[in-house]
Amino acid sequence: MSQLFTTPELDLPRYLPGLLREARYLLRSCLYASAIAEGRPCFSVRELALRHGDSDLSRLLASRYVEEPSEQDYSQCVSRLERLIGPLPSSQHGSLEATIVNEWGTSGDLLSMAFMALGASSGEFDDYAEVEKVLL
Amino acid sequence: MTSQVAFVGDVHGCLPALRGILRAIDERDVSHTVFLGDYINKGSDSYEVLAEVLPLAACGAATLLTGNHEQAMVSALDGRGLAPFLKMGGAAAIRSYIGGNVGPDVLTEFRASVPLSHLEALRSMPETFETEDVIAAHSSGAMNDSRYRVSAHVDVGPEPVISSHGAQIDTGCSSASGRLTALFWPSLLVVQVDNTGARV
Repeated sequence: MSQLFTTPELDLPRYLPGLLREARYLLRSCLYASAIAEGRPCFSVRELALRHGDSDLSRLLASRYVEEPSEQDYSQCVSRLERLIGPLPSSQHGSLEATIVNEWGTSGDLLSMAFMALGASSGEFDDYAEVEKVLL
Repeated sequence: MTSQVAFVGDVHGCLPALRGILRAIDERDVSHTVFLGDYINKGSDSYEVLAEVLPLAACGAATLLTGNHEQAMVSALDGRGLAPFLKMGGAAAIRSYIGGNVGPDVLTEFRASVPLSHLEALRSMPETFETEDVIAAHSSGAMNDSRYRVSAHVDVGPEPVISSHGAQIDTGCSSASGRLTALFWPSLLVVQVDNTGARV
């Protein structure tokens, strides 16, 4: 699902809040998994920031992240993600919107993550969504 | 037999069901058919469904009311954001119009694939159909009236909800075990087909 972060030029102007939220989610999950794999499980972002010598990690992954979504924070999350898991696979579809259209009807996690990245935009039709599943 | 009006619920991109219900209506003495909107999304035949019903409206045999899915499609095509349309399952309609996978610029491809006749029809669909004793709209919220009220929009399960003051006839066409319902006025008789178009 990290391929969702490889078409920022098309997607960030429209979907920065949702993509940043998912980048933070994936980075946090990868850090937890990495700590477990090292035999030192840790679910404290502060402790993980100390372990990695990365003081800004606490702010980026704070559970009460209340800052205005920024492309800089998004890039910070994605670059840290790449350091952990290597280069992200290229998008198969070229944009977030194309991913949703082309993956429609499949039951994969990629579609669910792409769908959630659309975010909670305000508008006259926002009281309605077709959601196949919700990933927690 | 007195000539009747047929009201048809949400089709949601299911061409076999649409054809099945049209066959059932043809067997009766029906002077006019009113489709209650939501022709697109969910099923794989959004384009084909609109292509099938638009000529019925053009020759005066049918009235095509607008549904929230059509309104969202027009809003997306007008550039007010693709996200709300995608959230309500617009990918199904986009795939139907484009005929398969899309490239990165979805909106440009989608716009290019929608015939002008479809766009004009979508823009001009009325919200209500009214006679002296019956009023119909996609959503019951659009009607505050003492006449008999026919609506769709909310999936009420496999059977329509019919009372002395109104009827709700969205029976989940295109969803698993869904049906497409036609309600005949003033008899209040009902005909249903499944997603294959077979009579239920």
